[in-house]
Amino acid sequence: MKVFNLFFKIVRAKAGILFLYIAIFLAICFPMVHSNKAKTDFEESSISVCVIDEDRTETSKSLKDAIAARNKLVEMPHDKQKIMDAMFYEMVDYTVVIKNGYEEMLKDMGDGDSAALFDAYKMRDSFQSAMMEQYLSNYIRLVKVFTKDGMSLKDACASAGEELGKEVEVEVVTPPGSEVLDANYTDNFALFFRLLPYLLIAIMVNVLSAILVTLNKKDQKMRIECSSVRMSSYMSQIFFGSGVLTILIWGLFMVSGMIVYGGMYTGLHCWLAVFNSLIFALIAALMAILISTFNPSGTVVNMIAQILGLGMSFICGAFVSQSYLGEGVLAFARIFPVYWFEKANDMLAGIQKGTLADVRTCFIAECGYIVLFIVLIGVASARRGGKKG
Amino acid sequence: MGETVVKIANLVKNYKELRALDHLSLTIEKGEIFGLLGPNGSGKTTTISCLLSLLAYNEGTIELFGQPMTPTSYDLKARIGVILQNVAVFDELNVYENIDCFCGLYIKDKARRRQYVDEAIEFVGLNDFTGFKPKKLSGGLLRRLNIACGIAHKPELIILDEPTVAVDPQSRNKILEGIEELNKNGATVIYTTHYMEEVEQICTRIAIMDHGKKIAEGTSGELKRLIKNTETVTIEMKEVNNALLNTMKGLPNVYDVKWEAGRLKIYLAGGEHNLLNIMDALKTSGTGFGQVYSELPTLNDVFLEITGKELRDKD
Repeated sequence: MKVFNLFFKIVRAKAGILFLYIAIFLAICFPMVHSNKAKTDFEESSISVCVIDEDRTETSKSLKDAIAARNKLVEMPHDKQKIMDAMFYEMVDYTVVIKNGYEEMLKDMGDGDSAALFDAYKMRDSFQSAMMEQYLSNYIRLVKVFTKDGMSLKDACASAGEELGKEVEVEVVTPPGSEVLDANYTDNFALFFRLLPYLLIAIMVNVLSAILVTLNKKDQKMRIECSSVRMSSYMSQIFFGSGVLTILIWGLFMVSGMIVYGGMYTGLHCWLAVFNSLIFALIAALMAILISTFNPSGTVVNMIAQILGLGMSFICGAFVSQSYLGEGVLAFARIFPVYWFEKANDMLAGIQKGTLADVRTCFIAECGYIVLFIVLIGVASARRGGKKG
Repeated sequence: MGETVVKIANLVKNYKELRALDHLSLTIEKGEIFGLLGPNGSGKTTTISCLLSLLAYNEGTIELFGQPMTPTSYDLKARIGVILQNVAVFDELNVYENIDCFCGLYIKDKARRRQYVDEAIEFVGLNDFTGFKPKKLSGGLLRRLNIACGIAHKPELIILDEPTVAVDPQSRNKILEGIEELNKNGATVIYTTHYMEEVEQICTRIAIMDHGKKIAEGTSGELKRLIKNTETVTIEMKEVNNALLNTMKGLPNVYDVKWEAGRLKIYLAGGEHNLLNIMDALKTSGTGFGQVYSELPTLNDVFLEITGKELRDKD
């Protein structure tokens, strides 16, 4: 097993790249996965609002109280510079100035524009601004509705505040067509698996290809051919080493996945996604072996890793879900194995419509690539052997 | 007659239209340091590649230790140590690991291998560099590592293909001394080079190659006796007249006289007291002169006389 040992001595020299990729992956994935939890649990958001009451009436106070009931109220003097500074440092999201004469204008405005009642300091196009403006518009509309119904202005303001302050009941439902969604296979794992192709391709090409190129360098190989080691034994030990390395790299990612998610894989769909990733790890390894048969230099290996990894990941839906990609792009993406990996992954996560039979079809397509790459490796190796003779 | 280690008979190797080896025959006996000398492109490396079954050849036979050498002659390969022209080590492994790795291709027993690796390190003088990666080594040290990787398993036949190319004089001497020591320890050595001084220094027998053919074979002395020249006397002088040239040409054993770049070169073929005769002739002519020195023929002179070109003219 001398060649096998040599293989892993060279792996040791390349381990830095492997762990660098895993560290970067964990650093990116961990916050993404954990911030993603908001998607499944609805939570009302509140903003920091500064209310400058220039009217100082019972009616304006009602509005201020209503705003305070749902948001964090920040007290500030009406100093434009200070307000702008506070907004710049995100201490305040929105500042509303209730104009002097607000109460009188509200009584007399009829169907007039509520915008005339207020001035505002806001961040243009921010969702906080949109949310607050919507709130003020709804409040004034309700007050007008209630006063038209005969309520006093005081009661109308109180009722409007009460109405808008009610907690909204929200239920998160499964999108139609997501029949295969598994309760245990959450979006968090889906995101983790979705990013895997880029990493597996980049690592396999950068590590496995680089090792094989080293072992197949003309002078070193010639030197080994001069020794008493049989070439069949040499090749089988390299093949065995490549297999073990592939499983190790895949295993490291599966462990990383558990670290990111904070738990064990559970449920059929989750384990099918794990199986899907194993098939893809084999595809990436075979891709790396195929590249190594052309004996590229270290720089070229890295370039190929980035082009293949990034290119296929962008086109096939690793960085952006396939549901956001155009038909033309997806039609083109079908020729790449990453497409089938992502499709199966999306179906297992319930992001795309599909059944387990459809998932199986994706697995078969991926296995097709395994056969294709084995044939290509055989042809490339035979051609190289032929050139030597 | 000793035991024959290498027997090459009528070897022909063609690269498409080019005939790289042209009916080459060599016999190397046990205990020899056999030099393959020739300019670049003369077929030395092709001979070694065929000998090691790294290249298929078109005609002829190759026998090692009395057995035909084929790509699957693993028992024979186990008895050979190879130091190829290009340094073939792994950049990812340090000096110790590299030697251990190549030694491990032959020696399975760990304890024995450890001992052999330590001895090889000691032998090439890399004791202070065992933890160094090859990229941290100088050219000379790298060549020594390459040699250590080839000899660590204590082979009976050691093949060195131009091991001193681009090596500093100190490392070159160390390498040449090492080869002689390996030979003293019982190894038969095949040494290819285009440096005639190295061949003269260490080889017990030499084959001179050109255009894939063996043009001469023998010991250094035997090869030199193949040619007319036995001595060349050089006299440094500012000018020379026809009278002096004719006088020199008329001296016993002188077969040629050349005047070039302030040096009068007198070529002699055998005989005795040649230098004394020349000095007498110089005194008689009254011509002023500087240094006078006599040189014995070199292998370059042999190559020059046989092929009409310098041994290193392609360097």
